[in-house]
Amino acid sequence: MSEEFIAASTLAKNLEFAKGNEFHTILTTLRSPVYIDEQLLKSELSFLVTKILKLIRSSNDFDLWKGCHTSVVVCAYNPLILSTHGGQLLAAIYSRLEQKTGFYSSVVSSSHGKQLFDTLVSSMAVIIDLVKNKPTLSREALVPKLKAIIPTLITLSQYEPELVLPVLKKILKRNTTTFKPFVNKFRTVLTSLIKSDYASLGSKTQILVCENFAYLHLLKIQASNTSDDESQAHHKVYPDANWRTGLLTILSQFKPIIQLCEEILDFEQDNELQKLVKALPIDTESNNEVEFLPKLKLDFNAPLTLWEIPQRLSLLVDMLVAFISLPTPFPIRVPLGSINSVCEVLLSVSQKYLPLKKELRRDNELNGSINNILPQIQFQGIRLWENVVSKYGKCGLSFFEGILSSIELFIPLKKKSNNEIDFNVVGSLKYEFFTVFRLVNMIMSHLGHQLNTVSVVSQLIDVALFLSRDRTLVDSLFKIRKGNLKQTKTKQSKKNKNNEGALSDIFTHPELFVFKNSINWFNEINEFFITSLNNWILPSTPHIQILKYSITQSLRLKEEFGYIPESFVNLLRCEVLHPGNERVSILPIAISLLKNANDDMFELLCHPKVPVGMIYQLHKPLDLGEQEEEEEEDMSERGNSLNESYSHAIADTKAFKALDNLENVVIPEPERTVSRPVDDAAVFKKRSVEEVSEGEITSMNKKVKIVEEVTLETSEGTTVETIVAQTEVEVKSADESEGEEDEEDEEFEIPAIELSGDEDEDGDNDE
Amino acid sequence: MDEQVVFTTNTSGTISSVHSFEQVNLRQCSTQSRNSCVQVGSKYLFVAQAQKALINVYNMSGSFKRESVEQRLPLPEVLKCLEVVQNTGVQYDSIHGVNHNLPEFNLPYLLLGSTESGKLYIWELNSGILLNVKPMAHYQSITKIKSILNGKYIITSGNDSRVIIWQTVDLVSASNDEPKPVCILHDHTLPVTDFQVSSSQGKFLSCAGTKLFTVSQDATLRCYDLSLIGSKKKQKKQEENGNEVSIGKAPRLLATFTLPYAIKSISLDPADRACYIGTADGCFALNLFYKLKGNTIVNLLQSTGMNTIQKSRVFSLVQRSLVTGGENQDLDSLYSIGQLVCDKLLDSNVSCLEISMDGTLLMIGDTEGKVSIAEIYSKQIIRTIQTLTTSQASVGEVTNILVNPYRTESGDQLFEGATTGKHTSSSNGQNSLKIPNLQRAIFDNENKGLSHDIWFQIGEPETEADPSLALPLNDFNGYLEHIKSQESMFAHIGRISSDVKVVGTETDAVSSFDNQTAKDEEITELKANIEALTHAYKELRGMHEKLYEEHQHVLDKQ
Repeated sequence: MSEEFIAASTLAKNLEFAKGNEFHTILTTLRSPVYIDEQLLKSELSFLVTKILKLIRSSNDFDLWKGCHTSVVVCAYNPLILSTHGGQLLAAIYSRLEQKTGFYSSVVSSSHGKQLFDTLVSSMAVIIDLVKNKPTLSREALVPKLKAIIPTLITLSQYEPELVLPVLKKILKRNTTTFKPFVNKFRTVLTSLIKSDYASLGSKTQILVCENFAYLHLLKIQASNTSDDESQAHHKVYPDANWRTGLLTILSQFKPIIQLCEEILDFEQDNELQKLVKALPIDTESNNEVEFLPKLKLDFNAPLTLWEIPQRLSLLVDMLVAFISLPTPFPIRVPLGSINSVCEVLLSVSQKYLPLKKELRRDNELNGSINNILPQIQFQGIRLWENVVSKYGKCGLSFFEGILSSIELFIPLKKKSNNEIDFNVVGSLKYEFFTVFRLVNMIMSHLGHQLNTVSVVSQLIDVALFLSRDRTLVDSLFKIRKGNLKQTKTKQSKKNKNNEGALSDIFTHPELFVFKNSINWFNEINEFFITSLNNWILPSTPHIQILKYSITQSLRLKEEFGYIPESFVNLLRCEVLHPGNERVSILPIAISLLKNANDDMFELLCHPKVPVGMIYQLHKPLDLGEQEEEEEEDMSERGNSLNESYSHAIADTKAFKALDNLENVVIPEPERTVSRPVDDAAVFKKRSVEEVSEGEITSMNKKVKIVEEVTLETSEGTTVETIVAQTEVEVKSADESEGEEDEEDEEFEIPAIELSGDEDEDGDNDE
Repeated sequence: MDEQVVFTTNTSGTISSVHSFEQVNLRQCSTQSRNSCVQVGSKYLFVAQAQKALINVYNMSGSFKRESVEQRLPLPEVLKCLEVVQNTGVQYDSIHGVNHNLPEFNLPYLLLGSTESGKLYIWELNSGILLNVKPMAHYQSITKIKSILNGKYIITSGNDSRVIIWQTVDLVSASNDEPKPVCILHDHTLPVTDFQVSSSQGKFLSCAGTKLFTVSQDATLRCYDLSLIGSKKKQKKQEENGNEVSIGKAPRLLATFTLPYAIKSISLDPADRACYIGTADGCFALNLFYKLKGNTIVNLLQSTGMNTIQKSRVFSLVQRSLVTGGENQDLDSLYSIGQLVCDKLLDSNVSCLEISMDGTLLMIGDTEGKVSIAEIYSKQIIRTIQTLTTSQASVGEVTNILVNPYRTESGDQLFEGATTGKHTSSSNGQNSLKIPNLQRAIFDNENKGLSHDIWFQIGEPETEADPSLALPLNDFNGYLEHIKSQESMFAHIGRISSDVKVVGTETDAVSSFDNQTAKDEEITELKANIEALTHAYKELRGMHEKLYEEHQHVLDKQ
């Protein structure tokens, strides 16, 4: 063994006084695999560990902090230390944590106190993580200590939920049985967090609280009281029995809240909705667990209290999402149908088809807050759906069309208008619509192109286009100003005087009050546009609007950032590939936008790669179905004349054209051959013989040319032997470039592109 | 890595592999019709049993391969063909960008089964719920069911000589009790025996150059372009109907190939370069990039532009050895009269075909119940796999061949001899759940009150470590960065940093002096504190005693 490394004991000695760079160097050095040596174990490494333990036990916070980090690094990189001393280190760290937790308030009052807790908890978590899947180690070092660790963490979780809850979540999931004695205590802590402080927690912590709450239900119920499913009764007890009760209790909380909405909107107008509400799941067994949520206090005289409805729904959705989206050690039963109907009802809570209750119609303030909360209530449904779809994918396929039509309810319409979207409201619901588009994109990726509810799509396109414009905050102000101009001048001047100082910026630099869209927003919107363009041929107006949007935004982003973001490139590609009803391709525009972007796809579109000597089948604009019935002589003559007219065309094309024509003549009508196979075989042979002879007679020149052509090519392309290998690319390129080629061909045959359209119509008439 | 070959005959089922000689015989396995066997996930094999209303589920994953039936799923009727719609593209946490491992309980979304009478059953596997039954989906027995484009569409072919494309959502949707197909292809005149779809499919049906190859007993092979947006005819009709957004409806027939024999099966090169046609008179290979004399190559499936009404081309296939005269001279002239020369790979009564992953080996199942693995280039049979039964004569014809690559575990493992530790315990554990029983009654989708329970398990997230915890093993630099930021917090605090400097007294005089002054200050402060406290204590003590006395008085009075 070479001696060319620093002895662990030296490092250990230095550790005591190290700080800053020195400390980091020691940590980095300790990662080295040279210390993983059994010979060192007894002497050097145990000395190191003793030093670390000393640091951890030291009364100095900084030493403690150092000790924690050193033990984490050592345990992570040295399996020897982990297995021999891991338990010791864990115990030391834990005992310090317990001690510090005892004096929580005094520790936290010093400014580094939080850091210290952070270090203690996270290093403990890391060591627990390291120990977790090693059977002996976890049995001997971890599990016995957990009994002490868990209560400490639970105590700490009251003060530092953000810090401790992730650790508790892991322990709860992995060592459920060990956790069992502490469940009730933890539940009390969590419920108090949910009850009192929920709104003041960060959204991450909120999710953590809900997830921990859900994981409390991992514990299995001993007694078998699952008689809800008769058909599967022979399955004794499902592992998810407790989980399911938890889930169903949360789900059943929705109904009473929704019934509150009946006080606002006149549900009686809609029988279907009433049925739906009636069918919502309710809590049959009165469960104590539910009662922890305080009752809502709503007062129509204090309209702001109505906001409690969406807030409570948001809490319920958070908890439900935790129940249905957490990884579990066993499969769980998810009542997708009930969840779906909850969402559906939530989305129906809108003024679109339901009138307000009569007695509420006069109070302006009340109506204002009702107008505000209704979309928020709907939004909770959308959030829930979004989570369900993202986790369960196709499993909800049977609901997807329903979801799309419910989303239509979310799009606000102008009152007393004929399906005009109220863009003012749309503007204020931007974040909500972001979620809507995410949901729609996820749904669309599972659906095909035939939908019953395409009207939503065109409405959503309008919304997307509107919201993608930069929004200025002062817009409404200017509108008012314009209105004021018509009024008396004195009034206006008065106004200006009052607010002169404050308003000057607005009028001189209105551009500073503009909201810009984030790139995330654009990504989502572009995805939606791509899906719509791919699945449907849109009517002209929205199509052109999308084109305009993509081109202007790409240009703007290019000017701002120097490149075009990927989602815009994808959108441009898609627009080029699907020109819709437009006659003009945006290919040149897209390419000039992406001039130096080195885009493979557009490169292929401009330079279709085809193998040397490939025979193309060209379409013949004049060669319509009806003429195929004509005499063979005519055909071949026409073929000739055609060929002559193309005499300036490149040799390739000509030759292949000829071949093609011949072939077409040989087999005039494919459908017929199929329908009368026996007859045809005879006819087929006879004709083909005639054909060949006639063809040879009438198109002598042509034949000669072919020969020339082929020889030319052989001399040119000698590498064609490898053609099979290339074909993958070729298939693509050929397919993608179809349009291109066709266009080119048409250009030298008949210059006007419109002609192809005419042909189409001709064809249609034929049909 | 190796490729697993699963094949069933009328009376047996076998799991073998292409490159090694291991072979397992599935017990109690008998199949009646082709395509009656489907792989479910990487774990299960579903085999619809002959003459029994039963699906046998076999476990075929890795080391848990078993010969015995793992589970039996009773059915309402005898099924002929099976297919599953995978629940892929589950965008786990696409919002938070966290990957999840596949859970242990991971079933596809749908199980489709067809009966002799052309009825189509659609079950949801996660719940066993019978979502829909489409009677008379075909007028006669269905010969193959296949889901394409990530399960968005389903194609069925039948003995009624039709090929039907369905939209999956129509088949399961709550609002749609009479699902209408997207389109019906009725170009064939006799039963359609098999079809294949390009393995590479785009994201949408509209832009994909995806091809559909159908073969039939009428001795034709037809190739369709599945991209629907191209055909404008139907779209115009729709516009007349006043639909706002629209799309074309029918796939275009690109080419028809005729053979002298009725075609029983087809297999497609993974990259669509060639197709292999199985007939009672042997197996033929047709290069779809057909080589003419010299360097000329024809793309037989070249579609013309979107704007033309194209009459598809018809070719007849001629076996190479039967072509009179020289080999290559005739190719051009034969092509010009619409004849293509193709190679005969094997002279046997083919019933089933499947191609290997790299497209060089063809598994040919014949009517005698053996599977020949033939190299396509040399037309040589490399190996023949036969069922491990004593009575070879009664095996019957091969009904299914499934080929899928798998990892051979021993080769990839770090420590030889070790089992796949964690995986073993988890997938053998008692937690693994049986597949829910398939129900017989159609689920009432209209009734909103039903809870529609599905069994589902969410997989573990990829890295359990919270990014904020920054497990040092994954990202040491990040961890170090974390340490630095924390240390700065300690450094800013006078007391702590001074404590740190205490240990450095021997080396640093200035700091020690600083320390000294700091200490002195502290001591005086502490002394003052103690004084104040003792004072307060005395006061309290006095009050306490006073109160106690009063209390005593009161007690005494009583």
